[in-house]
Amino acid sequence: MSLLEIRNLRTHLAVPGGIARAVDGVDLDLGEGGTVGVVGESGSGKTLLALSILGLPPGGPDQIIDGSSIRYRGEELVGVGNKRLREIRGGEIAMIFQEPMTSLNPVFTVGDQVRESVGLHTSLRGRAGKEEVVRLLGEVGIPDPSARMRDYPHQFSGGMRQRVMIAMALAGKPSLLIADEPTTALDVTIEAQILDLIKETQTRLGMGLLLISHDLRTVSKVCERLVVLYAGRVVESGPTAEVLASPKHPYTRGLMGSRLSMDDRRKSLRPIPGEVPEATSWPRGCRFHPRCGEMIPRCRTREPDLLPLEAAAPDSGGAVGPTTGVRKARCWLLGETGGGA
Amino acid sequence: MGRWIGLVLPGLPQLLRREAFKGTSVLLLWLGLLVVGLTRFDRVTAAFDGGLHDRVALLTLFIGLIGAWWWSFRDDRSHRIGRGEVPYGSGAGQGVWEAFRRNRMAVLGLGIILTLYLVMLLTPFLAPFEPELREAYQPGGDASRILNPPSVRNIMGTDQYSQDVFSRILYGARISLSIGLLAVGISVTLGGLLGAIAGYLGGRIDWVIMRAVDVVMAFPKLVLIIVIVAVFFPASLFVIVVALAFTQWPFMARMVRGEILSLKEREFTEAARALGFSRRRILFRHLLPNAVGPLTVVAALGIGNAIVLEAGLSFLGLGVQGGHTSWGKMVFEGRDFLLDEWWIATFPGLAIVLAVLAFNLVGDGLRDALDPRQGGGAGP
Repeated sequence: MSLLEIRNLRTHLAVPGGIARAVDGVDLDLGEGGTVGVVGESGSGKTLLALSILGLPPGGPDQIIDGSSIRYRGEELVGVGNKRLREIRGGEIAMIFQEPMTSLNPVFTVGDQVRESVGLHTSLRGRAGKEEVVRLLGEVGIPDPSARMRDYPHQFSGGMRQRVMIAMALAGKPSLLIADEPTTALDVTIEAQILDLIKETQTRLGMGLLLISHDLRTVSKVCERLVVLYAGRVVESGPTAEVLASPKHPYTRGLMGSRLSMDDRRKSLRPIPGEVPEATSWPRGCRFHPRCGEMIPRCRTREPDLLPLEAAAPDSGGAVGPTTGVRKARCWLLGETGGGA
Repeated sequence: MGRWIGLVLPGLPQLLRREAFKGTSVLLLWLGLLVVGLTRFDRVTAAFDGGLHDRVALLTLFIGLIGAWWWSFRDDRSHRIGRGEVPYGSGAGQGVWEAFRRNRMAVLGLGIILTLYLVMLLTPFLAPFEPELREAYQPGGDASRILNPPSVRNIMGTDQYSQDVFSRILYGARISLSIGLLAVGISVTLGGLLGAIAGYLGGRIDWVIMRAVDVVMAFPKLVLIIVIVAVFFPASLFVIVVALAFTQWPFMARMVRGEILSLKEREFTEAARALGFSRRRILFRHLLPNAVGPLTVVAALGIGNAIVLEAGLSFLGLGVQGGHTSWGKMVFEGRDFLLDEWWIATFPGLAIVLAVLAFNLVGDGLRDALDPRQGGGAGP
């Protein structure tokens, strides 16, 4: 049984100007202790996907369309009661956010906030609760935790605040950690530290990790599997190394072309032209075709399906475990069946 | 050395360290209470068997004295031990307090308010006469005690019943100052709660609460209060407090609703939800504490407002009935003598002005201190 199994997740938001189909039929699998990275530009539906898993889309759980399915260890989360959802949030699935500057409540000490999280999800009270707070803060690398827990968020740097957020998320001993752009607001040096911390914690506690980022490089450092999201749909997925070695979808290639690499200095940046269209009116046919450099006529009229590719290396088939799985892509260029790339 | 000075004269060690603000206020408190206690020694001892007000005054005296002494001692000690570090109070409120302190007028207002309430509590020891002592009407009374101008004996003169105006102002402070505090206390609780619920839940509940706010705000305040008081005439203290609170809560509700509306979009709210906190807990434990700052501003201004409204009500003869006096009632009683015996209405009027001014100064000071755009409180 996999840890998280998402089938045909559609979250549609009512916005001025119509219905934004921001997450529109996403499939995703995550095994126990596995790591999956979700990559895409702003507006591709990454954050909403994460919030939907917790039953927290901005306008309430009703925005998750019927027929969507989110199974956590086999338990269906779509349509489950509020009480059960609250137990799951923080206790089973925890989430950390992009802005460590504003994710902590400015009027309470850091210790109080971690302690509240501890109090909610464990039976540790009083002295034991305080010790747990110190332990958690120490675990995420806050120096001198028993003194610093009396400080307020504004006395912490961005990286330290993100560590506190991680401590709060770990308080409930979750089995799945969702990290929504956890390092985007941080310095590059701090970014590496926080990523290391997340990865190290994930390995040590055996948690599943869903890492959301707009940055392929971030995700490739941490995640075994990669899911590329565009316009509310998965356009490519597969083991990170394989996807990066031979990206099949033009959008994935575009993402790779729009980042700088230290290794190949001579390569120039090739940004993807244009931007993600409005979620109220996705283009007909393939949703990427207006920005695609390799468009063929069929892209304009019909949308390709997300189809499995033929295994790139048949002899490694046995090693493809439940955490990595098969490669899939959604593109006409890969042929009618998807396999003939 | 400094420690021993502090035992005799609390505040002096702080003053010697050039912490003028702390030092003078503690020293003044200590000396003032000591003078009161020694010069009115007979009344203090008598207060042990006295009524509620006497006992409250006694308690205030002792708490004040011991508090000043204890604080000075502890502050002095922590100063010696933790040299070079901040021993306490480096919290989120720190910046606000620093900004507030730089605003001299606001600090002056706070000083006036604290003094007023201290005087109010100590009234039984301070007042030279009983508030209802009509010397001219006593058996064998002296008829020349009526309408005396200010003198050494009656520093604010006497009124048409030969009552001492100064003593009546001291006793009247009880009604005037506590009405303001109680009315704002109720309206902050009620308005804050309703505003928070309206802002957080939104939708139909928000609509209902905010329309109620609109309806109450559509009436002129004084008219609304007069109607409520007239219905329950003769009005008790309780009715007047409730009437005042009823006209004030919509302002609190509106303010808190606005705060909550913006706070609930902040990321820490989302983080709290993602960690599984219940809606009630998020609203009351996470959001509302963030709205306390602005609420204090409205509350401080509201107390001044309530004092004026009560005075207006008393001036119209609709104020607290019975034996109680209040500043507004004293102005009302002195209106016929305003031109010749000016002291009867003028001194209570000045007391009202002083109290309201002090609350407004503090309110403005708090607003400036809490406003990040002003970089923390530019003084006037």
